[in-house]
Amino acid sequence: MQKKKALWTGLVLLLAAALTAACSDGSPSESSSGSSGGSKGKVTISMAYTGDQNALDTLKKRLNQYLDPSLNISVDVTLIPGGEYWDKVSTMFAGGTPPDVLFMSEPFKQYAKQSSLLDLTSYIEASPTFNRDDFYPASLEFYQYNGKQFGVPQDLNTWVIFYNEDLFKEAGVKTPWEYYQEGDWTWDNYLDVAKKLTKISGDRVTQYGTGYPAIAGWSYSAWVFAGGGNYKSADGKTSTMSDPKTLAAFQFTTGLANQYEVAPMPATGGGTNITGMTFATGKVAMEANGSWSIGGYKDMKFKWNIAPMPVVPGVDPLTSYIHNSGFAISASTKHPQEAWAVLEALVKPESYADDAASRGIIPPRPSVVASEKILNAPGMPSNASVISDMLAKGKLFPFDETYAEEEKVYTDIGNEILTKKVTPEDGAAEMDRKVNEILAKQ
Amino acid sequence: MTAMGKLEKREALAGYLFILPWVCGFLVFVLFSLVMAFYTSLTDWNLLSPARWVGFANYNAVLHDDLFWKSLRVTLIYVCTSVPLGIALGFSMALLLNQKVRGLSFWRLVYYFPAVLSGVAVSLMWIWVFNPDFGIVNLALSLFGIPGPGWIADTHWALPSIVVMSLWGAGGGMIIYLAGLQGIPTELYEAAQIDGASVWKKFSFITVPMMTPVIFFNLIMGAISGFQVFTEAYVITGGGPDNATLMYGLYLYMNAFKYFKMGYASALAWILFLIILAITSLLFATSRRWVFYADGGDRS
Repeated sequence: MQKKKALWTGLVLLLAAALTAACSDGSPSESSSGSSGGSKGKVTISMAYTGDQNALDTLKKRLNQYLDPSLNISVDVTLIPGGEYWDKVSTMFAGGTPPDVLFMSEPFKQYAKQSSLLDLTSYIEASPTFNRDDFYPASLEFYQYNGKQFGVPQDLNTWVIFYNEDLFKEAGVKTPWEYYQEGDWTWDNYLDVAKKLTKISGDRVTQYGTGYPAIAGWSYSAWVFAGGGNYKSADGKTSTMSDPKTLAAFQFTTGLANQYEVAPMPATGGGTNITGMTFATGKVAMEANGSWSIGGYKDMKFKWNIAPMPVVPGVDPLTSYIHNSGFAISASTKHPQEAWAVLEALVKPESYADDAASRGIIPPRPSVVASEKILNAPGMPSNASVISDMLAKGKLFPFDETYAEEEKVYTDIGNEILTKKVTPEDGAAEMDRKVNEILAKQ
Repeated sequence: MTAMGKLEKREALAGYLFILPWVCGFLVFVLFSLVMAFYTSLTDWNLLSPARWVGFANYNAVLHDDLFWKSLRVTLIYVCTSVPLGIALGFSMALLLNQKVRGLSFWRLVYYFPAVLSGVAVSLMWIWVFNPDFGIVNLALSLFGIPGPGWIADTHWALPSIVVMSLWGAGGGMIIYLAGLQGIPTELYEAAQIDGASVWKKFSFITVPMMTPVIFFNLIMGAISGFQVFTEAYVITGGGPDNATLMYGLYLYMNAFKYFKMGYASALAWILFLIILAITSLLFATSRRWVFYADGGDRS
């Protein structure tokens, strides 16, 4: 009897202990690690990063090499898969446990606006190695908010035309590069070339002149810029999709598929490319894509090269879209000095050079791009050096806090324009109406 | 009397202690989350800045949101087709695998196997099955000279494609039907045999009525999980083409983790909760008319 009672009491106590342990986890252990970061203790900087195993290994190697060991900083990197990176990171911020240092890209403005990021301006000015002038302007501009610098870039990409040299040679058609050199790489000539390289056998198209550039946000912006247009007014408060120059891009690119039939009608929506013919299969002669595709295309069986985007007369073909990714520091970090030391180790020229060597990326410092074997490394297309000129002149997409929502407006209505449910004019007006509605709520 | 009372008390205490872990889990992970989600649905919250109270503005905005209605319609069509088809297919497979055939356990394994594999991996596989140009479905159709549709790339075929895909997991229901079929007392069939009942009569007057509780169970579970369908649309179509597969769960996810509109997403979640609650109660209400419980006292 007595034994049984003891058993019950024991069970209850055990349960209660388990419950309180589960609830009170967190605050005490955290503060202990914080206070140990005094003058002589080791400081641990948590860092959220995304990419594959090679990206993680490269990052760790760079930190080992360029982070001064006398600072006694250890970096605890959490690698989060790309698809869920922002879900995880925003949840970490919401839960009050943001990483000290984090990989930063498209949602930058959203974080900067909510004062979630540390202002790096003074750190950059005090840094002996940073040297603002040795950065492509757009790479720093991307991380600016209200005139302050809240992040640093890591790698850059721009939008170029990839073309299949074998197909051009076979058809005896002047290449995009040749047109570009003559200063005549226009939309008209691009369409003309695409028509010449589209092959039909019976009622089936066996080769397309170009891939289809789907109307969207940043991934389409190179076309809008090539037409001299933009998505929003300079102050970012009004949508300008009905602007004749922006509209011209919609008319031109959708016409490639639904009028001239020189581009395959895409599997619309979803982002998963399920159409059979792609540039990589050798059945599509040209494709506009990010310069990151170079890495994957190196092993293709045919000869290919790159050229700047075709433009409407009067637009500089080197002003393409620039895609950024880099790093920022959480505003609530307990160790801003140490977190900045981590970033400083990553933005040194030698550190960027190592990153470029092992990941094949293009770093944001012109000096590194010029001196190291990056654009002229083995396997790079012979025209790759133009990328450096493009990075110097390229433009940014007007990312804002609601860009993901705006993106859906662009792609949904873009599909309707493509499938001729609406005219480009009406579609653009509808985009303006919806995007302005989203912007008004801010 | 008092002794009995003491025993009852002790047993009650033991009972509560046994369910205590579950109750704690429910309170913390379900009820608390539900209440918090309702509170969040009354605010404007983007995860980074503090939540701002907006009352029922989110609910009002939901009702005026075209994509909400679109996603609700898509999801309803999905549930109304995939659930009955899944039941029919699972039940038929169970009937076949309840026969005495050679290699029975092997066939059961084969048909149950797909239910074990699920989620993202299977979705990725179906992308290839349905690929308009290289997919096995269109390849098979082309052998008969039929030009296959664009499947997941076609606005009209994308939703049917996902319904077909959902039948992949019908083997999970099959196991439950199989267990149900084997629970039907053989004397019922023997008695019918003596009365000269045909195979069809035995099926429709013994098998089906005896199976209604199992069918009902699968109907309820199928409807609930059908309304919450997410992975297929997320992985395969991303809601496209032209929002043809914009499932409610996907739209909710997009609002929460793409647009960072947690308040709005929570309002969507609560509306979905109420819809599922209403439909489940409706199904329970109709069940009195068609679900037959052998131990329900009705043994005339």
